[in-house]
Formats: sequence, structure tokens, C-alpha cells
Amino acid sequence: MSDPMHDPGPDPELEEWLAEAREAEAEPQPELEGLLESVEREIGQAEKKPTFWLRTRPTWVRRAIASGAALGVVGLTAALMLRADFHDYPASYMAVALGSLGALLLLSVHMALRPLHRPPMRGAARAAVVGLTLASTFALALFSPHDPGEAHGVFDHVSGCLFFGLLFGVPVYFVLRLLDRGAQATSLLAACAAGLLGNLVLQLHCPRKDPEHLMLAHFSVVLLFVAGLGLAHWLVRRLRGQR
Amino acid sequence: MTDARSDEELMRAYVDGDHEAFRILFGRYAPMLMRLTVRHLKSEELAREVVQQTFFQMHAARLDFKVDRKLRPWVFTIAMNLVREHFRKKKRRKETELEDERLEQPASERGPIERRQRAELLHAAMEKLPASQREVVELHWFEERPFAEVAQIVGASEGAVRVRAHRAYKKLKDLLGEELG
Repeated sequence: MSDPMHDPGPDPELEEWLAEAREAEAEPQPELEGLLESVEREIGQAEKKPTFWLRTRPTWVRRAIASGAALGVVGLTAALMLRADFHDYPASYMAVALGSLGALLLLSVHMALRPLHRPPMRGAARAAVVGLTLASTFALALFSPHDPGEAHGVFDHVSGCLFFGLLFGVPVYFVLRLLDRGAQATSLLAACAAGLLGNLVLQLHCPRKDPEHLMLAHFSVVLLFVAGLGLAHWLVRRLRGQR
Repeated sequence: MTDARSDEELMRAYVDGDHEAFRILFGRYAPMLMRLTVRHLKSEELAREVVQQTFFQMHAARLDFKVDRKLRPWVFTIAMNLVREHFRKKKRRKETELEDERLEQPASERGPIERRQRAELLHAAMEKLPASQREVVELHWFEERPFAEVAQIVGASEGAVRVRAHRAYKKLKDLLGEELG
């Protein structure tokens, strides 16, 4: 065979086989009667649902809605529930934390709402976002600028922060699912976005800085969203497969 | 359903609310999409579902259609994504034992190979190609799409698509080695 960049075609023998196969399958015309009616019926039924209107918005609008919802939650937290020590907190660390969590959140939203008329995202790209989400929230918890002298019970307020983080992450998850047109891995990326939003809110609200608390109550929000939803989807698939 | 307008003009008309344009596009694209999806899914029933979903998604995404883009790769990408999604859900493509046996049989045990049988053998061999190579052969050879358009549909560079095609044809030749003589 010759240079693939100039002539990547088959050799004459294989070409003969391919040509025969193409002719062989061109003979029977597939039965299309009734298919147009089915399509129009499905569209008609979908259009009765208000959520379908949202899903049919252009992709940039869907992304803006989801990003706006997430940023709205962050803005409300900053305006109404800002941590008491915000002005004493190291500004550079806060900037790194908010910047990295925010950038990853917007990236997750962007990827989760990838339209179906675009070629699929590489699996490695999705894995990278999930990995970065877990790694960044883990690192932010581990390297928090804490005072070793701070005396806190390790398990104090863990359940409160966990609940708060999960509660504030859920809206973006549902908004993303609501806007989803059936793209691949939306659920996993939506779980990342939800976990990141939960962490952003906690970063702005919770005054605790000790790594033990941040690991147990902040990082675990991401872990619960990603691992918990992953497990739930795996279970659903298993149950469907058994039917 | 004859209409002198191009696919893109029809799509623009449809986006502007002309439902008849959608019907004409259906008439033009449904047979092509059925051929493409039947080849992948090996089932007319599944192919009909995927074609139905393709048009449904085309409707849902119509406001995303850019006026300066070609419609065919846009629609084919939706269809291929739905086919991939089907296989992702199924985990892997089922290869029938019959097809495997046929490929493994020595040529001497077979009688004269009829045209149809040869086509079946070829399709069985294509099943053994990696999905990324198989879809390039199917789009380029069977759907007669130029490499530039195939590249758009599968989301790779034209060079990468050409290399995939080259590798696919080489592997097909190896798989069909005995029959090709």
C-alpha cells in the first residue's frame, strides 16, 4: 500500500470486495414508511414539556444558563453568608482556591453541555476533568493555610458543612441535567460541577482552615457527588441489564 | 418531495419555522442515515430508532446550526454519536459466532464464494476493526464522503483520518488474506 497521506485507499483486490459490498447493500432500500410520522409525533409530544424548550436553546445559551445559575449561588453566598474571617484570610490562597474551583466549574459546565452535533469528547479529556476536580479539591484541603495552634474537634461541624456543600451543589446538577440533550457523560461532569460548586460555597462560607475538617467536610462533598452518583448510575445500569 | 433548494437552505428555512423544509430534509437524509446505521447496528429496528432520534436531536439542536456550515456532516455527526452511545450502553458490539467461524474457516473448506457471501465476510472482517478505523471506512467508502468531511464528522484531522483508513484497509487485507489470495 502507498503513502497513506496521498492515497490511503485499498489495493485493487480489496477494492473489488468493497465495491461489491457497497453494491450489495445498495440493493434493498430500507423501509421508511411511518418513520417521519413517528419523528413528528415524538417532537410534538416533547414540545408540550416546558423543559424541552430549555433544551432546544442554542448551546451557548444553555451554557450561560447553567454557568449563571452556579455563579448566582456563589454570588449569593458571598453577599449573604461570607465567612467571618474573609478579610483576614490569606488573599493569595483565597484567589487560588476561588480561581481554580471556579475555572474547573465553568469547564465542567462547558463540557457537560457539549452538543451532539460535535464529535465526541475524548475519554481522556473527561477523565482529566474528573481527575483535576478531585486533585484540586484534595490539594486545597490538604494545603490550607491553617494555624497549627487552632484547637478544633476533628469531627465538629463535619455534618453541617457536608450537608451545606451537598445542598448548594445539587441545583447546578439538576440545572445541567435539565439542559442536557443526551450528551455523553453529562451526569459525571454534572456531578463534578456540583461538587465544585459545593466546595466554592464552603470556601466562601466556612471559617475552618484545618486540613482534617476540610478533608472530611469539604473534599468529601466532591467525592460524594462523583463517587456517589457514579455508583448510583452503575447500579441503575446493572439493574436495567438484569431485566 | 423535489425541491431545488440546497440542504443548508432548507435547514435555514426550517429554523425559521418552515415545517415542510423538515419533511424534505427527512426525505433526503433518512435513506442515507438508515444505510449508515443499519450497517453499524445490524438491525433495521435499532437503525430506525437511531434515525428517529437523529431527526429528533436535529430538531432540538436546530438553533445551533450555523448558516455557513454544511448540513451533511452536522447530521452525520449526530447520527454517529447516537450509534456510539448505543454501543457505549451495550458496552461492546456483539460479534456473532457464525461470523467468527466463517472467518476462521480455511478457504479450501468453502465452496465458490458468492457475491453476497463475500460482502458478509467483508462486513465480518470490518467488525474486527477498531471502531475509529471502521467508522472512517464506512463513511469514506460506503457513504462516499470525502476525507475532509469524514474528518469533520469523527472530530479528527484529515491526516489522522487518512492514516486510520490506510491502517483499516491494511488490516482488512490481513483479515481477508486467504480469500483475497
